[in-house]
Parts: sequence; structure tokens; C-alpha cells
Amino acid sequence: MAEHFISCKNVCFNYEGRSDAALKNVSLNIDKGELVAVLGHNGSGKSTLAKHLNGILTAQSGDVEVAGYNTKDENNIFNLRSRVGMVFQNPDNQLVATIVEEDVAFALENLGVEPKEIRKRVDEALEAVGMSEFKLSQPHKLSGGQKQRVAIAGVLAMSPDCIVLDEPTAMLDPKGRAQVMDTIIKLNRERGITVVLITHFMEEAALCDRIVVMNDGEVFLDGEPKEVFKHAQKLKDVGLAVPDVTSLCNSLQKLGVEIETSINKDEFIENIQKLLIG
Amino acid sequence: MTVLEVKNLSYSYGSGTPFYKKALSDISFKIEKGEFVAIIGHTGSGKSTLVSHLNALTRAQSGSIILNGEDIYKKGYNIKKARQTVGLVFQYPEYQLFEETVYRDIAFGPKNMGLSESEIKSRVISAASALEIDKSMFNSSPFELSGGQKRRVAIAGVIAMNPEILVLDEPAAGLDPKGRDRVMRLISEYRKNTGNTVIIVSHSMQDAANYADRVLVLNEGKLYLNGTVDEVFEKADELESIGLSVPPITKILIELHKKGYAVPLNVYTAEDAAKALLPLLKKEVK
Repeated sequence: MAEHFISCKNVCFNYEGRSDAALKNVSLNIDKGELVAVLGHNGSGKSTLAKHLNGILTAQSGDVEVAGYNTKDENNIFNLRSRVGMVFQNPDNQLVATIVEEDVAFALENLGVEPKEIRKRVDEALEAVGMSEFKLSQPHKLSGGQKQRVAIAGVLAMSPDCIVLDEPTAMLDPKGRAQVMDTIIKLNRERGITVVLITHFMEEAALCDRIVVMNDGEVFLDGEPKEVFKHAQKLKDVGLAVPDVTSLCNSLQKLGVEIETSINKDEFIENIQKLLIG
Repeated sequence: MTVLEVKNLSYSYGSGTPFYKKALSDISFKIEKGEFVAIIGHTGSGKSTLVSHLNALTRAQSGSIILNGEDIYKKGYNIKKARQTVGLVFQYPEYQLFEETVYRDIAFGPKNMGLSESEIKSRVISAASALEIDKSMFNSSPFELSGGQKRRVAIAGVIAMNPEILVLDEPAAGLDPKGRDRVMRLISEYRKNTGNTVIIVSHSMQDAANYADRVLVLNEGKLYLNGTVDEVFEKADELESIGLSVPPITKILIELHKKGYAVPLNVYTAEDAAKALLPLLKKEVK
């Protein structure tokens, strides 16, 4: 299993007092540097799976190995958590300090990192998420997208190999969503950080390298976005959808137009132009 | 008939402290009975502050709110009346569920209104049915339900008070696509069946375009635009400049339009866009 950065093997998990299992025999490998979206209806097990990746929850049967550590190994839990950072939905619940740069430094201070090193890492992290000019601002004065990028910087300052984001854009406006997605993609492409992105937005999933679809605690589909979004009906059956541009292709196909199915706007525009008079 | 009029409303947080922030400045608009209005705006633009004024949770520092012709700040006005006329569903309302059973949670509002047992029962049953909550769930604990179910129970609790104006702050945020469509469809049907006014706050341009008659756009505490869905979403560049957007399908049509194709721009759904593109195709489609 050593070759995969994240390796889940037959993972089962049951919340106390619930009759149906949250995770049923989930096996899944994620390699270093992958940008993976996890989709699924509310209650499908996405967040439960995410919480297994840095040992907030541990498998009741089966094993999760991340960065070479078994998440059940309590001796290594801090090593594991410094390699895998998490970002949650509500930015207001994640920021603790009164000044942006202090917030980003929070975890490093707790780890007892040298002040000089903290300065360097905080500056770098804020730079990476495009928030340097706000380093002395008060977090509550930032927009939602800015706050969420500060939360990402806080994780980034720990120099993780992997960031797990649980619906980081659910509470953001369109611009905030775009900023956060741009930041995530940049961190993955330029720094090789492995990203696991849980989302309800199909457009965001389309930007990833791979999509894992969860349904009722099981992996339902797993593949490249182009492949996964071919299954419009299957996705609909499990409470999901395809990106709007893909629905447009499907609607055109139903009307008898021969057009390839696209998952992004630019590709669609290129294809449709070949068919249009003008 | 105008049910709600907001006149020159202004509000600041933390006046006289370093945390001073002008949240709303000089906002005026009217809402007609039975309208479906969407309020959009970037985070921090004042949307939630604005809606908290509509049932007098927050008191304006200047300006007035006229509900059914009555100024709610006027001396002698019973503020309870405003609370019963305007039902407010907060963001993530499922966090406010607290009763032991679904039935009791939905009944909480009507009970506090002092209604009779039989009236409470009929309110709960009709609110539950409006939100597609099956009677078999009545005795369950609300905490055993799925995220989408909890959301619908929480909304039913407000609808059970039969507010003339239903205000929902981000009613579909955090739901999966199916849950999102269902909640939005049920709110829209509720409006049709009761003739009551509905106001939603949303970050989803798609939901605003699909369900609303009219869109109010806030920007930095000011009313930036107020118009029909078509009037607002034809201003794509302006919306972009204030952190908003147009629905994804509309974006595609705008781009084709810029490339010189004669496509309509007031199209918001995939099906409508497909139909709109059809006449422009080179080859006849059988």
C-alpha cells in the first residue's frame, strides 16, 4: 500500500445510535499530487470519509493509511495531522485570532516553531493564497472568500502534503467561490499538494483531475470528470447532477443535435461554433 | 397591493467604536403581494442585516418599514404583529431545531401564537404537507433526520405560523443538487398555493433566475439594482464587478453573443438554451 499517499482499505464506520452505516467497506487510493473531488448527496458519507483522512475519526473495521501512517496509530497522530490539513465550510468558525497574520501563525505557535521560521512561513502562506496585503487586517472585516483563503493559509503554513476541504465554498458568493477554487488549483498545480475537495457544486468538481461519487456510504463512481459526468441519469438517481454546460449538451443531443458532451464552457463554445451559422 | 415598503433605511454596526461599519445606507424599495423576490449581493453586502429589519429583529437607525400600510416604528404599533406577518427563516435553520419530535417542532410557533389545539394540528399538517414531510416522520426526533429533511422541517415550522411574507436567508445553501431543487420547488409551490409573498436571499444566481419575479441587488450596503430577472441579469459586467455573476448557462450565451452570434441573452436553463440555439444551427435537425 506504500505507493499511494492515501489508502483506504475496506473501511467501515457507524455513528453510535444510527442503524445504517456511514461508510460501508470503502476502498479508495489517492496518489500524491492528485486533485480529487468527492461528490455525494447529503448524508452519503463524504464528510465522514474526510474525517478519516487525518484521524478525526478512525475506521471501525478496515484501515486508512495516509502519508505512511495508519490513522489508528495514536503515537503518530500529530505527525499525521501536520501532513494533512483540513478546511471546513464556515470560515467564521475557523478563524480564532484578531489579526489575519496571527491567525495564520496560530498552529505554528502551538507547535513551538521558532519565531523567525513562523514569520517566514506565515508570509509565504499568505502570499500563496493572495492575501498578503491583508496580513494586518481584522478577519471579521474580510469577505467570505477572503476569510476562507486565510483559513487555507493557516493550514498551508504547516507545510502539509495534503489539504482536505469540506465544502469550502458553500457559504460564499460567486466571486468568493472563484477565488477559493483558483487558490486550491494553484496550490495543487504549483506545489504538488494533494487535494481532496468535498463539494456540492458540479462546476467545481469538473475542474478536478478525478471525481469520487459517494452514495449511501459506498463509492458509487470513480473516474475522470469527463467519464463521471457521462452518467447524467445515474447521478440524478443519487441526488446529484451534471454541470450546467453538460446539461446543455444533453438537451441539444435530445433535440437531435450531434455535439460532443463537454464539461467546461470553453470546450463547449469551441464545439458549438462549428455548428452555428454566423 | 404593496405589502411591504422599505423607506430610506440605514443601519450601522458599532457606532462610536473602532468596529464601526455602515451595513445599510438609504435603502428604499416596495414589494407587492404575492411577489417572489430574490435578494443577491456579495458576502457582507448587507443582505442578512436587511432581512433582519423586515420583522423588526433589528431596528433601523433611520428610515422606516411599512407593513400593510402601517409604519412598524410608529408609537403604539404592536411589534408582535410584524413578527407574525413576516416569517423569517435563518441560514442553516436546522441548527435551530430543538423539540423532541418533528410534530412538536413544527407546532412550536403556532402554539406560541396562542392558537387552539385543533388549529395547531391543522397548521402542522398543512405546513408538513407543503414541505413534503410525511406524517410517519411526526414522532421521530428531528435530530435523526437527514440534512435535507431537517431543513424542510425547520422551514415548515415557520410556514405553520402562516406568515403573509415568508423570508428565507439562503434556503438551499449546503444542500445537494436534488435537495436544493426540491426546497426551491416547494417554496415556489407554497407561494403559488397560498398567494403569500416570498423573499429569498441567495448566492445562487441560478436560483434567483429560475424562481424569482424580481431581483434586488445589494452592494456595500446600498441598493444597486432593482428589476425583473431579465433586467438584472442583462447587466452581466456590472454584476461581475460587484462580486456576483449570471447563471452559468447565461454566461455561455453571452460569450457566443460576443463572438457575433445572434443568440438571446435572457435564457437561464439548459433546456431553454438548447431551444434557443436550435434555429442557429447550420444543418437542419430532424
